[in-house]
Amino acid sequence: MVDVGSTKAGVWSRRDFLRAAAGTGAALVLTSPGALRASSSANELRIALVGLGAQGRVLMDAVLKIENVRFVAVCDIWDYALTYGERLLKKMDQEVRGYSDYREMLDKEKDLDAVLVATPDFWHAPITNDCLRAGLNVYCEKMMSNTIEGARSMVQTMRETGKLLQIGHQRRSNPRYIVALERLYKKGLLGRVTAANAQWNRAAAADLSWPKKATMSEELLHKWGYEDMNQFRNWRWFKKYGGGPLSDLGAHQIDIFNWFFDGPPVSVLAGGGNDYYPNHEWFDNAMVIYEYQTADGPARAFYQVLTTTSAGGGYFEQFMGIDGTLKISENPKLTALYREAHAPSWDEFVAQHLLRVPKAPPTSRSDEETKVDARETAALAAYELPVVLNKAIHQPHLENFFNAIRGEAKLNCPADEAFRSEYAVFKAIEAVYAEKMIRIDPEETIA
Amino acid sequence: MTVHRFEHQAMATTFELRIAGVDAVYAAGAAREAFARVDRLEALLSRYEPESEISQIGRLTPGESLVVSEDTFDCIVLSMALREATHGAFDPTARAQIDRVKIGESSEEPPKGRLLIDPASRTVRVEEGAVEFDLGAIGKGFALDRIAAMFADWEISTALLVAGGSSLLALDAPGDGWEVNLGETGQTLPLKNRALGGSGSKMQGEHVVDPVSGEVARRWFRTWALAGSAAAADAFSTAFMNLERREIRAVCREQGNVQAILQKRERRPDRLVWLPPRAGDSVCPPAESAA
Repeated sequence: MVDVGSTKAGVWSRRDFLRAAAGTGAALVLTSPGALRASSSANELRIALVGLGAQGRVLMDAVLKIENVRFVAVCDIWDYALTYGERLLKKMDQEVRGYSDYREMLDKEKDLDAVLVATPDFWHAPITNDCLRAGLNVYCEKMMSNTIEGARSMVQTMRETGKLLQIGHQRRSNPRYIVALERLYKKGLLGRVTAANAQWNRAAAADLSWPKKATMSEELLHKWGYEDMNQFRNWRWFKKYGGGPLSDLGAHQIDIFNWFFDGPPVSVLAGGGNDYYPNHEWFDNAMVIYEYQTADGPARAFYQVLTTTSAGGGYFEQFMGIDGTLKISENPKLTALYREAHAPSWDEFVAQHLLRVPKAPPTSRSDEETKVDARETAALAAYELPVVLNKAIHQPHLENFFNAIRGEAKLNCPADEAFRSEYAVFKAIEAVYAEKMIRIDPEETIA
Repeated sequence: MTVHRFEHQAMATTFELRIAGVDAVYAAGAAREAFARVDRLEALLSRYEPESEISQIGRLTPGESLVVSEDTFDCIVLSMALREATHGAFDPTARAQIDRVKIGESSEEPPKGRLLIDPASRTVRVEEGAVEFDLGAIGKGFALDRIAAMFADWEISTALLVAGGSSLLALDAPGDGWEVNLGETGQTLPLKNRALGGSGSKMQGEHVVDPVSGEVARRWFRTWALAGSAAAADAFSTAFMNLERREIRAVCREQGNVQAILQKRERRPDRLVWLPPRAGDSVCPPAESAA
């Protein structure tokens, strides 16, 4: 900056006076470094993160918001990603050791409580099983595996070792979903629910790329099972590594069907195809119809995933009952409830602050049978679900995992529960290629 | 030199990237990564997203803390510095007051709040009142700065990054610079290794409010600021709408690396005011426009 000496005072005197007098804006005060850091305690958990891609970074950012959890190691085969994680954590005073081979990490890190696994799907089962056998609790991203056998092996290892295995279906810990299920859906707000509908539509996008200087050697890629750098970056589109859009996006939402309907589907019919991307193995668009047998009777669930258009309103799940519909999403702006005209009043839920009527309150009917109001067209009654998260989206699910390790909570999505949902995903993928309805015996879904 | 162009909608506007010096496939990969970066920033910084970190800070009550991401933290700290550099003419925490002015209510009760910020743990704690940030004025520029940093990794050195027409960040450029039209003035500016931010009352009505006086900015029709970063250019152009000519001159002097281009309300192109009169670096204003 240039020193402007006395000129500065002259120019700014009026504005500085007004600023001081009006006191507009907030006072922003930088503290001494570390002044607001939560002090660590004896029950601090020491964890490692394997996989520092996009999802691993999301988990890392969420964990950094949680007290009494400390990263001590990070692992990625891609030096470019590993360096990113090490830099970010060291900036937060978390001195981590970096590894390219998770087995070396398990050999050397003897003081770990848990490992977070966020690698491409085909590595989930081998890494998770090795970590569990090393006596560690594991939080593994969904899908559990790219194969049913891999997913089943994880449940079996969890049982054999007695360690905790949480699967990253993070909506199961989201307070908005929990309130919707426990305090609205299960209380009969929607009446008998006969249908569900969910979708995740994304605009077409170019393949993921990478900075030229960060290209891995063929030898390194082959060592870890990748054909080449392009497949490493775009693993979600290749059958060897992942399960395609129904697995990547659909698994979250099909899990919500199972969670709300309290069990797996009894049949699945699906269609899909590789309609747009010439160089992908997996289909890019699909539509699935599940049939459920709920305690109240049959229900059908329709699931759509499109990776070639963002049309249709993004990503959400809807449960449609005789008395109303719940539309819910990780995006609170896409969450709303709609009451059918004939439905019993929802006023008691509003009174309990479980629902909110924001702008267009439903007009109250007159008790006098011969009188009626005439006014402008009444808007459809849309209620808000006033639960907004003051945390990162994945934070509650991670907190649930850490609290379970401390013996203070039960896992919200243990591997055996996740397996039942993911089995339904595997069957939908099978149905796309079989081009026929597939029956699902509930017994099959138990690992 | 082939220039590859990409567009993406985010932050309620269109982001446009022009990339040269690399092949089309490589440029497309970099653009996808850049746009994903913008989307992540919007999810963190937008006050219109109920679960953004900025919205979360707004809901903190006295005594409550939040650990924020590196992006949010950096943007808050930068906005603090820019508030001081503009003597409060840009203030991302005066949102409630500005909202009242925009909807025609009085501004008798300015928002009060006190926020402690710990740089080591990236923790913010509200001590008093509530602290509502509106980083909209610098969010787009901040995103362009982040893309530029990412492009350094990708070894992309020739590019022009634009957000909504009001935030521009030029890396290296073909020839003397990327040719930038200054609104409808008929005047152009070559831009190279420099950022340009623009503010005005034409596109969105009388939307700039002075956080200090609470008054709608009426001195200038449009203002532009040239600076080393796009976030700074955004903040200075916003601030210039609220400042008198001598104050703007003082800001440019104090900062050393900031230049102003001002269009008077008469909107006559030949009445553009350039401060300081002799623009330095890569900026070569037409001689007749120097005030």
